[in-house]
Amino acid sequence: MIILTIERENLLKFLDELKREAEIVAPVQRLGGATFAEIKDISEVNFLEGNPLSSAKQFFFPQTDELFQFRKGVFSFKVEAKRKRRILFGIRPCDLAALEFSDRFFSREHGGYEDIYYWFRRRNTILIGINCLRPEESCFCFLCGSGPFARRGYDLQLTPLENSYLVEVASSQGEKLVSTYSDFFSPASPGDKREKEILEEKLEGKFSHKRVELKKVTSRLLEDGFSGAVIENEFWEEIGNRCLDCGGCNYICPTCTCFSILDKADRNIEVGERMRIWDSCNFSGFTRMASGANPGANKRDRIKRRFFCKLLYSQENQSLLGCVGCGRCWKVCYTDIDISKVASEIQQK
Amino acid sequence: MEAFPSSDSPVSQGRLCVKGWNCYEYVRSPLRLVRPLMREKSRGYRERADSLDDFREVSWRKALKFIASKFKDIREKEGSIALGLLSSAKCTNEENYLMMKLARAVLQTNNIDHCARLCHSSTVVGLARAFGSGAMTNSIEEIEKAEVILVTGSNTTEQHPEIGGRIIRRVLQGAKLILVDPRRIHLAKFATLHLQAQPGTDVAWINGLIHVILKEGLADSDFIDKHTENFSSMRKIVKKYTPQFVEEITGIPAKKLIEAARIYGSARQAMIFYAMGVTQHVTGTDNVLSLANLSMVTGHVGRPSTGVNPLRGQNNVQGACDMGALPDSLTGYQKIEDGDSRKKFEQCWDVKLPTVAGLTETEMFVAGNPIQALYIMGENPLLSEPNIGRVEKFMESLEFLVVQDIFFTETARWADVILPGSSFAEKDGTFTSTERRVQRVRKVVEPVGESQADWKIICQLAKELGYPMEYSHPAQIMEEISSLTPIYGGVSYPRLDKIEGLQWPCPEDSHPGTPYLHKGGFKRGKGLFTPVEYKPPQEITDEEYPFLLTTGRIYQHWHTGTMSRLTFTLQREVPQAFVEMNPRDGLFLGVRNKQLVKVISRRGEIIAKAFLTEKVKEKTIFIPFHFSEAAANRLTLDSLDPEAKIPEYKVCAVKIELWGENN
Repeated sequence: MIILTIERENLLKFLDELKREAEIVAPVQRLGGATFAEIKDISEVNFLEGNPLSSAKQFFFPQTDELFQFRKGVFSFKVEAKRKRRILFGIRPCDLAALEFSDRFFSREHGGYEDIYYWFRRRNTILIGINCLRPEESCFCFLCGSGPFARRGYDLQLTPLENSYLVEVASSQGEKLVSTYSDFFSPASPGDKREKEILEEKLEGKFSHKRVELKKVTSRLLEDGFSGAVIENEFWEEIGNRCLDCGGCNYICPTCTCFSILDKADRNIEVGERMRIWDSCNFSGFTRMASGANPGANKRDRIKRRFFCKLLYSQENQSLLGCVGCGRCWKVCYTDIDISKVASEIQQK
Repeated sequence: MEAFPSSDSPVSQGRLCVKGWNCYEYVRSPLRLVRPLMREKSRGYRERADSLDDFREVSWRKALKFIASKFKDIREKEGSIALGLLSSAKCTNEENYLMMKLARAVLQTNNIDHCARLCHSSTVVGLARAFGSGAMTNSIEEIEKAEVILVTGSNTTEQHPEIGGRIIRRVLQGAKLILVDPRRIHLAKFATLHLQAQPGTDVAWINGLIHVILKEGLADSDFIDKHTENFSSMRKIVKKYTPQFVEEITGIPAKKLIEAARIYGSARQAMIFYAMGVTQHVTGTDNVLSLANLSMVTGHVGRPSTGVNPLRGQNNVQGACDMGALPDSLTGYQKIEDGDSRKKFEQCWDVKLPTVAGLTETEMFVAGNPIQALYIMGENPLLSEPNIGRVEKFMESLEFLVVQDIFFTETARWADVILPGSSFAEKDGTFTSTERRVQRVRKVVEPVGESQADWKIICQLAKELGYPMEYSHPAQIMEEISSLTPIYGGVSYPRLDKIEGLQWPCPEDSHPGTPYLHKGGFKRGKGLFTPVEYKPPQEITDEEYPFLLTTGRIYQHWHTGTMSRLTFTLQREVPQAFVEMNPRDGLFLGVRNKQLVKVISRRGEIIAKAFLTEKVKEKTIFIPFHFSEAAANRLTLDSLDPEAKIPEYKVCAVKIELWGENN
């Protein structure tokens, strides 16, 4: 692997250069909060704040996605071939891990289907990640093996050092970038690499979360097999009672990939569009059949299904944990339902 | 277009309810109204349009000219008293202000009101009388320090999930929750005590609580002496409301009432939250006054994490009231009948104003009143008014109706002219939330088609009527509002650029805003105790109509459903109307779960699915009012609270029959 360094000033210049050839999406501070957005000026990039509430998901699998339009029997598809390349800058290791998950979900190789809308955007995007030095109270990536430092999934990965950034290059696209703009980069010294290792070691203590052994959680869930044999109904009932049906944990989750398809047409059905929108397995209508039969008729079972999906089914289907430890679901929850706490309680069962 | 919560907002703190998460969908719905429409020449009498085919598209110029000429004609013939305007709790403060100005300064009528008449008019009257200010006394974030929370007549987790969630978080930390509600709502799972009072008996149990508090020495006599008046006459009234007497009226076991009184009475910091279950009664004002009595007896007001907190429903119903979209008030509750207030507005607007308070919304839809023409902005009374059959009769006799909305609503079907307004995402302005927090809304997309921001439409209509209203941006309108409105005196757009907004009263530029009211003394001087006797509901059950119907809302839908029912996810969750019925009643009537039943009152009938559930007590049924095809308000009673003129949506008598061939 190529490992380089770049000074802060040069990083800004580098991004400024990239802006000529690609749309740059980065964390920015907006009125209302930090978010990922296309930047117009490099000065907008927010290097210091924690992870934005919105993840990178929306740039590959947006909340609403127009699949095609129709006008009096003529269809037009929206997948734009001429789209400018996009560089997603400053995404955190947890979000990189989530992208690995959704890559698998949306591809045939892992038993899914090839989603053209997802892959069009995904292939057109270069990922420049940044390792996390300031975990928030809600973060528990270290339990999920997704952070605070990324192992894979990026084109370029930055680590903020004392005087510069360490740059790890993990793809041919990344290599091309650093060679095109080689003036900005210098080779990393052993001291630089060591500095990164020390930073990572120091981070261990900064996570306030309880230690959970997710392997144990997985085996508890396997033993239970959704039967209630290990984890009693009351446990799920208590969590279900707290849930206020907002769907926020699904919407905000970087690995939640469920969607619905709907047609929106004018009253004469002459003009309209087919779109897909994010869906949530917390809703009763999510699995209600035409007959009215519904395996998720009650809240307890829906909540249970969600945690089984995140902590067990994801591993069976995508061979990856469905939770990356970003803590967003806990942040948007009206009643503080915290998946890491749920996992630790399952472990004790 | 996407919808995301704001992580930096001190109110939402990064959370949204299901309607918020999905609000992008209706904004860009292809069913939005995009051009002004006029009814094809009618058949000599007014009737409900079957579809948009009964209308033709016209230019803005033509539509506005036509409206102006009709308003002028009717005014010349019948006088200004024949004109009525309904403003909108969904529109911005600036738009409500202009609508109010259009009514009073241009059309010379005080017949202006809005849907607050139907939800919290009894709060505005009751709390203004008791405390001097008719709004939520405290702030949402103060829940975090409350020891005791009393929730009544509010399905908080469904209707105010932001507040409901905070209540649950606080309860999980150890606070006590007293819930008084006829239904076993979601919050009941978290309640220390759930008192299942019979609908319409609020005065009785509140008097009962005060009775026990006084008897057990839990009253705050210092507070009563220092800050209140008329205590002794209130004391006299509650004497007879012993727990046993209250149990007879309300069905609340005496023991539980005593326990609730002890919990509320001995707390240092107790907050009361209430909503429509308290206000929508012929005794709505009495109910509110009783809650005010309760808080004053224990000194639970005027400090953080205390107070009497009405939860306002629509995004800007607080603001629409603040802006004087009320028949008796100018902005900031300055009375139209007060000469000094009127004079201030007359000088600013350079016009004489009508001096006598106008008709309320509920009085506007009564046959035989002087109203000949109505201009309705963003409201849907053909589904939200009680006893819809009566409103339809009134519509048949109305001479001219203008409806300004974003969708073809039930009300728009009766219109002569429909004007396409715009959604929240398509305009700049301010909304004032339930905790008196004035916040900015910013335009993110252009209005669809030829539709326009509602404030622009009002300005153009005013011009057609010969009174120029020229504003280049809502910020200018706010400057005018703050110059005329003491409680908004320090509110301005530059200051509102901060995410947290400003909580009124905010009298001047340097004032930081007011998180809780009545600090160190009441706005009116001394808090006023009002002796209130329990009065039974207007229509009680009998042999012919043996079931008590109470109406309300559900989490996934919003009011008359014009937006939520076009939203896929919401509509999928709850696709149709239902009747909640106790399983024992189901057994007695031979009604299976999900079977269609006909619900009949003295005023109308509807057909809907029965949901058998323990949520409701025997002989009580619940129907949400969102669904036009099975409109609960065909059944409800149009009797009004004598002062606030709020209808009794929460209690009427009905009978139930099986429906369909297979019964």
